[in-house]
Amino acid sequence: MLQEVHQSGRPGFAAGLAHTPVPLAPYRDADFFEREKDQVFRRAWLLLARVEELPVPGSYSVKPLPTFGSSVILTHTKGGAIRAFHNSCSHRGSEILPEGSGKQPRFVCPYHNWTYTPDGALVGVPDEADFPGLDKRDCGLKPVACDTWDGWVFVNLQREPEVGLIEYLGPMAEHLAGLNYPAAATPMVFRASLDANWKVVADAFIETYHIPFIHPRTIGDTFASAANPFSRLLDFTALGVHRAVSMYGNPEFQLGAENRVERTAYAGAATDSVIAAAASEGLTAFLGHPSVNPTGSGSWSMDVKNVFPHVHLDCGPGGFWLHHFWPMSATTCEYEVQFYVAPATTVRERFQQEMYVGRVHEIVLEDLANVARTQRGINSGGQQVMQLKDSEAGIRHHLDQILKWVDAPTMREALL
Amino acid sequence: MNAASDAGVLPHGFADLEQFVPVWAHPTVGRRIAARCNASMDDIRTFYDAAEPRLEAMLAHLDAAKLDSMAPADARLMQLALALVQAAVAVEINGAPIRPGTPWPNSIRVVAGPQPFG
Repeated sequence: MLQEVHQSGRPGFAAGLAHTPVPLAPYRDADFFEREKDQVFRRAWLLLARVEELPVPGSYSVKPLPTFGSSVILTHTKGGAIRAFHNSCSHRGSEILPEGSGKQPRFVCPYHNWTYTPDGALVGVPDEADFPGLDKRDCGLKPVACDTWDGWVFVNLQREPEVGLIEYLGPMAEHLAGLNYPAAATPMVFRASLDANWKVVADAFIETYHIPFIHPRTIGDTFASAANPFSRLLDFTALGVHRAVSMYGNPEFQLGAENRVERTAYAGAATDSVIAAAASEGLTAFLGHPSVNPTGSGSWSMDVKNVFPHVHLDCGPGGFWLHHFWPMSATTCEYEVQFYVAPATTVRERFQQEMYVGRVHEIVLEDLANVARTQRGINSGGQQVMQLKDSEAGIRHHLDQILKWVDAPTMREALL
Repeated sequence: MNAASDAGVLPHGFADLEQFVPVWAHPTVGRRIAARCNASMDDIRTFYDAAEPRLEAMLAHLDAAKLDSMAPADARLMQLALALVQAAVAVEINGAPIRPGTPWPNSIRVVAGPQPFG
């Protein structure tokens, strides 16, 4: 059956996608970037956090929005709701809290000590008598539209979102419904500032065609084998504006004898995948979800669930991880990856995590160098289109949606 | 806390690895990555060849310790064991201190590593 999938399967075509070239202007054009920022990122629901980061009433987390040079404060209110506010003081607009998280009963602006509750109410103004006519009730933190679904916290930068979160998620909500998220409270976080359009980076993480060439020593042998030398996709699913791909993995892969330290690190591990940090509680239920390894393949490496526009929720044999791609200009972006790993309880588990981080760091570095190279080539203007293979269906489908969104007058039309 | 193990830089029985502490024993993964990227392949190889055969003994000694409350000498031994991972990245994966074809320094930041020693 595998042979059939790899030699004749065309999951992109089967999903109704074209095989024609796609334009490169969206990857270098400054005007396109501005439209993308306004029409896509200011209208779409943006996945920002897990509720586990805000465990109890009084918990807060400040999340950067790099694209907009600002941040939002997420709070868990006394009433139990998750709310979002612009991180901006009602006095003269200053940022109130630095990036970070924790639990505190009051937020105090460092500029002049204006003080707010986690519900956003202004409760303290030094020398209030010198502000004649100030009505504190009108001067709470300015809310940002915020909603949660299955433990994911989203914000929407429209004052009144045209479309609610559930309608926005559409078939992606059905696809992911009921998935449990092992170790969701304890992400490891890496960031990088990249010299590439955000889609160049996102594209690199939703196709496996590049893996044998860009990552021959770090993960090449994990994703390709003689049975599938170019690592064709196991599956592609269009999910409204979102999408999912399932990637091939080499079932024969074993660490070489020369990987002495790494073999020690993974001795006794529940998975021999070098892109898995550790087994963790809830992993069996996670792996049993019908949308994780959806084809039930014995040759599976990972799935990418692209939550539109800029998040990849990746699922692998050891759990899940999350990529964020934030546009900064037509040719630069901020990149964040979060690996959700259960805290080590033993020295050997901690040692295994270090090995995982060690290898992952090198993979990210290879991608960082690769996307900068890709962008320089695109910048030349020598190419007007990209040729995409069927297994690059995730790239095509994402760009199709972006092209629709930048022109659509309303969000509802963009979702059609 | 064990007074005997606090007396030395490393716990009893690991004196042969003490020469590597200044360059390789660091409290965070970001600093251990930097130590590897700033080292010569000869220095990495020397550390790897000395520490790799001792890895099982290091882990066996540390098995008895509590991850989040190690005596200073044990913590340094743990940092050295974790640094061996970076030496292995150079020796076993890259064949060079820095991944060929990639820049050093680069813009990757470890914002939150695995804890402790992250």
